[in-house]
Amino acid sequence: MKIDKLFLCSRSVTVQVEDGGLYMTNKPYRLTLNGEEAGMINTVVTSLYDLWPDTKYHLQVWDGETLVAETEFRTEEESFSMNVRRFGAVGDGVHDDTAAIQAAIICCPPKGRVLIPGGSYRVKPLFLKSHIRLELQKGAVLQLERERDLFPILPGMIQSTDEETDLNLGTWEGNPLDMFGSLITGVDVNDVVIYGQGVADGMAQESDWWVNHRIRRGAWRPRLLYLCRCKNVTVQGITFRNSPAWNLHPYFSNDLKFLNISVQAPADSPNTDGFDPESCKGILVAGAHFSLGDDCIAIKSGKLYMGATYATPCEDIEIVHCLMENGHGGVTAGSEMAGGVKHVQVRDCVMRNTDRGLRVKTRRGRGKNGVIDDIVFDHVEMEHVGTPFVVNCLYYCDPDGHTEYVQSLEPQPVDDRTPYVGNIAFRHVNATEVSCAGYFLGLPEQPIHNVTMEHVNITCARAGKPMQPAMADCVPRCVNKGIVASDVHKMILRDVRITGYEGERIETKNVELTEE
Amino acid sequence: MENKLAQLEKNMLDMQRMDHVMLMGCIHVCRATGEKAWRDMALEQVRAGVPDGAADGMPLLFAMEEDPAEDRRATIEAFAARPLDGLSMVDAYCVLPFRMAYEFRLNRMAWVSRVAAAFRSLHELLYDEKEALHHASVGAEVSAEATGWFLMALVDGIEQCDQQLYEHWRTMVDIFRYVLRGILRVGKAEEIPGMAAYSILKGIRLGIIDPERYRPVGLKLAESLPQGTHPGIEAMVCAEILMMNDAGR
Repeated sequence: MKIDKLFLCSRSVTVQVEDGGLYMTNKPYRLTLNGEEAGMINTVVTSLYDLWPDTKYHLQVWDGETLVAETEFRTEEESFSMNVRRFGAVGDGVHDDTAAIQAAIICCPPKGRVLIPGGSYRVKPLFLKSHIRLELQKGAVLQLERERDLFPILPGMIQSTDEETDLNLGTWEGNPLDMFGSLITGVDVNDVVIYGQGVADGMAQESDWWVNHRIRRGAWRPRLLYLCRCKNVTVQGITFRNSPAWNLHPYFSNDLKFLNISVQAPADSPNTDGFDPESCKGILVAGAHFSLGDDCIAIKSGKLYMGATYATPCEDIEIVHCLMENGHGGVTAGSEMAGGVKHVQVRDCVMRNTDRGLRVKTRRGRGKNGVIDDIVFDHVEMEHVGTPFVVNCLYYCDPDGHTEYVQSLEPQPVDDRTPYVGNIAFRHVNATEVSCAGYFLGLPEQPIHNVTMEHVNITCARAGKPMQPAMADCVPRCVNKGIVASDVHKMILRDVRITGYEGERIETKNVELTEE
Repeated sequence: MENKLAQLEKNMLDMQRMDHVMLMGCIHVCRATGEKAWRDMALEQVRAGVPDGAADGMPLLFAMEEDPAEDRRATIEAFAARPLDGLSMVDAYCVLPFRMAYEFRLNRMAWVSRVAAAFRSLHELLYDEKEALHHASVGAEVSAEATGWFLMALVDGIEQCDQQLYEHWRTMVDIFRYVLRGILRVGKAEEIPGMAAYSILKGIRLGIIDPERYRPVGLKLAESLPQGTHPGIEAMVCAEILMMNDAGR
């Protein structure tokens, strides 16, 4: 059995114990650390906390009394530890602890640790700085202030003094718009670790964020974690819950890791996507658990203005050993994808009770930089997922989503506003109790370039609920449906089994289909 | 300011029929002060009929909100169905902000892109590629007055456009900034102090230009309005100053 270190800092480590399981290990294992019992594990990706800085550790994995894997590591050095209680934080859930925690962050020297021990800390948005480690210890809860009037605002755009350029700070659904500061906000910071077994709680259930949520009041809703133009940031172990809007939103940021995090929101909460990287490069999401009311992971790159102006795709993303439950989509690309979404690997994941597994959403008007390419699902299990695979180029979003321009099934001129979907592959995917095996809707003027499915096994639910597999005007609700594909340049199916469907196994229109 | 508004009110009450600009000035002051007298004066003019056709779309939208008992939807729809090509600059001021408002209030934003494109076309008409300057700035084909109408059309159109349709909103904002910088750079704003003051002060209120840089310019222009300035424009400038003072800017 193999054990890999995914991340190491002064006080914690994340390892991946590969025994063939997806998200969960095939059986529980016992850990020892320097010969001492360190608990049981049942997930492939596991983090250990409460380590001591600059210390050598020997980690061993046991199946009963049999040693099955081991590794050694030395934790990083730490300069100072800044306990927020020393800075005046009270942690009683009543006192406003913002200033105390913010002071600890600002005062923390490089390689220092800001420690938030057990307790409930009522805070307004906190702003990160570079080269710090922020630990939320077990029992620590950061509770976001409920009154929006007390929040700072991040302006969408600020014009430079010479009026030649813009500074983009706030963002909302793909446009540079004013937003409230987020519970944890990082702007232009690098080398930051946020870790621990504590909780970041948006408290949205006790405020008005989810009421009339489509209306802008003061500014657009905050996230729980917002990283704007950040670099080399790791988030490890934290539980995020009850976010006012999207939970984690890295924006134009690079080299990011999200390990063993848990993201939770009620199934009926509005726009509470779990993890929405936007125009970012180099992301690892490992061992994360999502249970939400919207998309679990939605990979984005802005609407037309941002895509055309900054042309920054979201790319080089690995999502491994994650569990995605409830909500609309497991992994989504779009619909704000005007800068492109490229090179996404989803491996060894489990999706359960989501409306869709992979969900690609785009539409005419996203622009020529709106290229979705090289999306791969490999070794993914889906249970009760309505439609495992959806690629929809006629997505009816935005105010003009139902217009003839967006929804036309007749070829339109290919121009600067036409998006492109390239190569998408599904390998070793097993989906049970689905309503529709797959739905692929290309643009007549710009077909989806290539869909490959290999070793895919799909079972339709015998008493499945009718659902609309793709949100386009031409798509009816359906149940026990096979694969539907239109306007796909090449579709290659190898060892694809579909059972329990009614009607045709594969319906195609303007598709070059090869089946082996 | 109160004296000036009182004088304007008196002058307007003496009029049988207001033109579009005067009516818009009246509506602006109503919005700024919330005073019933200005509202009633505007509604009375709208009820009396439409003096210059498509120009009065915006007052009809105002009346629809203030006096919902009367159904004006059919008239508004008829105005909104008219083509957007071949507009003069004064037409642009009368028509385009109305069309933008119509898109957001009554047309589910279906053709915001067309209104933004109309602004872009007008800008391209005005823009001199060779000189890399606005025509107004070289004092050639386009008069300062035409540029003034265009600036007012832009700032009123921007006010009606939701930033969520950012690419369209931003198109108009960029043109507005470009044209404004152009006329200030070559000193043409002094030829149209009322129009320029209104556009600048409103641009500050909408957050699309820097108050630190432009407020002194806007206020200076507002203080230099010559005799004979159109009372509608004078009223609009007063309304903007009132709102600026209220907001503590």
